[in-house]
Amino acid sequence: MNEIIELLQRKNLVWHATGKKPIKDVTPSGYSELDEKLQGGFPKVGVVEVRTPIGIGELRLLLPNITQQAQNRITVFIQPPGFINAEHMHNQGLDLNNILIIYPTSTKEGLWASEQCLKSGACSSVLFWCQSLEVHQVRRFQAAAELGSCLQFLIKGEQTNSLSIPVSLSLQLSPHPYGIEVSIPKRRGGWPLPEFTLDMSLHWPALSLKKPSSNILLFPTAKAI
Amino acid sequence: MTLWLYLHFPMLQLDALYSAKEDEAIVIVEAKKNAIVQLNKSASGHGIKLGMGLGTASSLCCNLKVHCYQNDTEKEKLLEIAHWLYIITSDITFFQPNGILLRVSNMLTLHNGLDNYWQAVKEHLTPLKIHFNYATAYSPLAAQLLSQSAFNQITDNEKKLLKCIEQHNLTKTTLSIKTIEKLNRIGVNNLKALLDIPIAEIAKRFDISLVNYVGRLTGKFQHPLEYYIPPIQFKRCLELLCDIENVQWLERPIALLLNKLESFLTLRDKVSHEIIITLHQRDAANVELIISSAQGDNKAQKWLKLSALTLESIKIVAPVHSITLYASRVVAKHITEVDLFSGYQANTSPLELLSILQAKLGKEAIKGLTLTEDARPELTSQFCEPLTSLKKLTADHKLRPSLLLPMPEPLIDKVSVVQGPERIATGWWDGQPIVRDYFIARCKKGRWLWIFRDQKKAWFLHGAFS
Repeated sequence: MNEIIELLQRKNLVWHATGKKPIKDVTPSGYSELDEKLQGGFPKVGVVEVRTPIGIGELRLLLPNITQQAQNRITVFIQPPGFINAEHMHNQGLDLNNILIIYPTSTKEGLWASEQCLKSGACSSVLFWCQSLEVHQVRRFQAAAELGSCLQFLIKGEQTNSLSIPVSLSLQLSPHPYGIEVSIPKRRGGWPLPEFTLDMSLHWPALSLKKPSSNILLFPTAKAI
Repeated sequence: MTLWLYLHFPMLQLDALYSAKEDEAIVIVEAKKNAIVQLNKSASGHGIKLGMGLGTASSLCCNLKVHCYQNDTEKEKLLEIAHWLYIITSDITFFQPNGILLRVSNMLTLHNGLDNYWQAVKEHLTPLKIHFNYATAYSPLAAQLLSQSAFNQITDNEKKLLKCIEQHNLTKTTLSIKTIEKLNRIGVNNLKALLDIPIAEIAKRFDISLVNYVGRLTGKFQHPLEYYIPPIQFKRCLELLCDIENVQWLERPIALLLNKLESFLTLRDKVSHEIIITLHQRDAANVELIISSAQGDNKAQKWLKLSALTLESIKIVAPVHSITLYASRVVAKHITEVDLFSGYQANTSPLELLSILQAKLGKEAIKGLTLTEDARPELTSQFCEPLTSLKKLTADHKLRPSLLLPMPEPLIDKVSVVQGPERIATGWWDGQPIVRDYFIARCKKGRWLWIFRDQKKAWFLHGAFS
């Protein structure tokens, strides 16, 4: 009996709520603050759900990890809202020759393409912009991702979906003047985390508002009557 | 003297038909003569014989399948056989409409003897599943004569062959009826009698064609022949016995064609990048399926998988009566190297994945990304053929949004400008000039937008720093 538990523990299939940090197969996200919260970073393999409005910096949050994981494998963008800009991807260090962009004509085709890419083993990351997904669909993604050792990001609109889907990690993003407000409603092998601010002003100085310096006091101005 | 092998295909059109059921009685009728020219086993079981009229035949068997004799089908099939045989033997000549002549003598060294050579030819012909009669002889005409009368023996014994030839009646030869009548009148009924007459005597009494015939039959005269030179491309047509209306049922006949493609490619150590499957519909336009494999494949299994994906998305309006398979891009095999110790072992290569995606979603749905040196933002980043190696450009680290709108849209949201302007004024040389001042702005909802103002002071949204 003990042996089985030991084996399960070694394979990281048993989670102790009170236990120490589990040693997980994770890859750094590129933001040390987030890595700390996630105990190492994004999972290496699996499905990550990202609930976010478009344009607040969600791709900028994911790209360092994607670039680092690429390693001559393909990065796939499925159904992005608009054109992916080559210049940005190139500046981020992603190899343009290893990018596939797929515009499926229906949701069904999108799901199919996503699963094919995940299980092929030729892709490192698959980004899929989608609306709501069902539990069995995510299960299939999870299995496919493990087969092809690939990480999938499901980028969804911000509408709160009460239905819980079996993802490895779920991120809820909202805008913040200095970066992104992140909360983690769900993660495998850890407690959900409340909202915290991810400061991106170091990485993207031009895309964050200027912080008021601490040694400057604002001169009290007369309020308009 | 040279030894020749003649292959006679008595029911070529019948063999070329794709039949799902084995036990159907099928006959091929030549319309002009109203005579049955080919029939299968089941039909002959009903008592139908060659040369019968259609009326007699149909009264013998009520559910008889009748097909019209088509010269073209046999021609094509003959070409196919010759193509297939070319791997074993070099000199092949057609004897239209249903015969093939092979020159044996110069292949004997390679195959180490006549028996081995025949074994190789026979085994090579087996997978084609066609009926044939054969015979060897020391002249093309003699081989033809023996083969057509189903001699079915392989020998290089000159005396025995001559004896067999001499037994034949003149009606079996290719001589014209007029000449045969003339010969009959002087008491020459079989070939023995004809061959006994010295050629000089024949020349005195008869025209040159008979002299030529006798000379060629005995091998004394040269028989001018044109040898077959095979094309490199692969094109095969499969005629279906029954029209197929269901798209899914097409898979099996297509698999037959793909198997032939596989053996074609494997023998030449080639791969095909693209195949075109044409479905010939009855009374409707042909449907053409272009199936491509970016990696290049020679395995029928892989092509079948890709074709099945494409077949899912097509519709046929009328029943399909035949299928043509054409390998449009055949290239030498390229070996992909995989490092044993690199750790990660993918089971699907990127190009294979691309072919799978393209087969199902269509070529337009899958895009690659490329960078150009144009300064216009909408032209800098462009779609291209996916997974092609392009030249490396150096990063210039301009701050650019990650998502671009397909077309700039008028700005509606209220925004506050954070950075800018960056003026882009270019394109005056090709008639699409732009003069724009780009700004980075943040809208109330916290989105980082890339906006610009044109010369008319109108504001547009062009992208998001997502």
